Amino acid sequence: MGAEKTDEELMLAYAHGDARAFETLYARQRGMLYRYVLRSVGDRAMADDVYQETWSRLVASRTRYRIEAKFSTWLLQIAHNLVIDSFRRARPQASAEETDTIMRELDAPESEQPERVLNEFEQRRRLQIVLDELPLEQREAFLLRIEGGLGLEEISRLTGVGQETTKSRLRYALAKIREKFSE
Amino acid sequence: MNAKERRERELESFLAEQNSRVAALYRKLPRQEPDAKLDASVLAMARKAVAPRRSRNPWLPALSAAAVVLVVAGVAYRAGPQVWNDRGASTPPPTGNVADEAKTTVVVPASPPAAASPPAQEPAPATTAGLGVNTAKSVSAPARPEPADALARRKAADSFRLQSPSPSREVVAQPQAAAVEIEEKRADKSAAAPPPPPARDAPLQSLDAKIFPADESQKAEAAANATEREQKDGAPGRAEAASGALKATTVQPSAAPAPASSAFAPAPPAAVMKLAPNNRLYPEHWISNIQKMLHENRRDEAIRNLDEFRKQYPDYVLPDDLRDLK
Repeated sequence: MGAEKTDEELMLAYAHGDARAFETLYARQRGMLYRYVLRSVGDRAMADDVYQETWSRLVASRTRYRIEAKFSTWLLQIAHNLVIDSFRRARPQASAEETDTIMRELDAPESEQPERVLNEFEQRRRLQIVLDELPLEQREAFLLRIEGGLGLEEISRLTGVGQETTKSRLRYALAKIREKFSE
Repeated sequence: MNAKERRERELESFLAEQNSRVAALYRKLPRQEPDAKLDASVLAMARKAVAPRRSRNPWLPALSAAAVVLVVAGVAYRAGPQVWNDRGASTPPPTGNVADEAKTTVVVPASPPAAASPPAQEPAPATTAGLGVNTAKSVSAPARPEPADALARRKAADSFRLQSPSPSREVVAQPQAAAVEIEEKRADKSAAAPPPPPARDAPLQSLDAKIFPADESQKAEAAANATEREQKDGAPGRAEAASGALKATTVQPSAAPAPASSAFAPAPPAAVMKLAPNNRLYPEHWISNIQKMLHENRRDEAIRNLDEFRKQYPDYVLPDDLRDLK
């Protein structure tokens, strides 16, 4: 039995007309990409649009694909650009439900506040909230690392900033998360 | 450990995903995935992008050809009446009357070449018209008034054809001026003149055989008939003459199958008459030659011919100008 093809080989096969290669590649990347998009934009409908548009652009530019970087980096690059575009078109604002949640947490008695009764479920929910509250640049850097598995250099190239800037963004993101959990 | 060092260590742990509380907590978050509808949409788009286009190719040429045919047929159908109307401006449209149509389309030469034209004045096959038009021409062509010379030529040719056994002899029986005169005079006198004796057929047939070479079976049959008639009439000399004439045609096989061009070549009537002995001519032709001799001041020769004529045709009623010639 031959070795399993890498993502890059599958993409090249698809560029030459192998639809089955794309199916395999899609099965590998669909979850990661969707979560990255969903957690980046914070809205499911918008995430669906960005997700579909990401794959559409990949398909359209399949013949120009060259193995110069990891396939996931190329895919996340496309998705990242679309996420930025979506934020530019409509600046995300906290929905009424989110605002209520935040206000309830702030107004709740100390004994009832989340940090006092944190369980695993509450920790995940708080992480989700803090991710949504992060500035876009910091959230993108965090998600590209934790969800896309990209290193500092790849995140820096993908986002078009230096590595020190990327490090700084990640530091700020981690500090805000820690502060949220230590409150 | 100050705050800065703590943040650096936290970052390194996060990047290495080792002992990172945040990373571990993130892994416990719900792992959302696209729904099935979104998956199907993306996969369909991807398959369509690389799907071979040959599924449409087999129909495209056929549909294109059908469309072209329809367009051409439509244009032809719509432009057809206009085209016919345009043609009608230059040439009159078909009226359904074949004779009228032929009169307007067939150009009959006023004086066709004497040697080259067929004796029956059959119209030449049209090269620019269809079969139906050609047939109409041939049917309606005689309706036009024929020139006098053409009519005379045809009459002469018809008279020759009636007496000649082979239809191929029409080729040589070209309309000639002398023949026309002979035929006209003969027609005038045929009522008063008695029927020619049967003996004259022998020299005539020999002349025919010489002028119109027939195939071997016809020649042999003609010779046998002439000999038989001579034996019945008790005139062996004529039979010999007929046999001699037959020999003249059969001995020279190279001259018999003359090329078509020579058969149609124009020959002056006088030359034809001189080639054949006068006593082998029709009586009318012989008489005509005798009259011609008189006109040409060849009186002695005319008298000799007339004497010979009287011997051969003692009952023949001579014309006035020859009746007293001695």
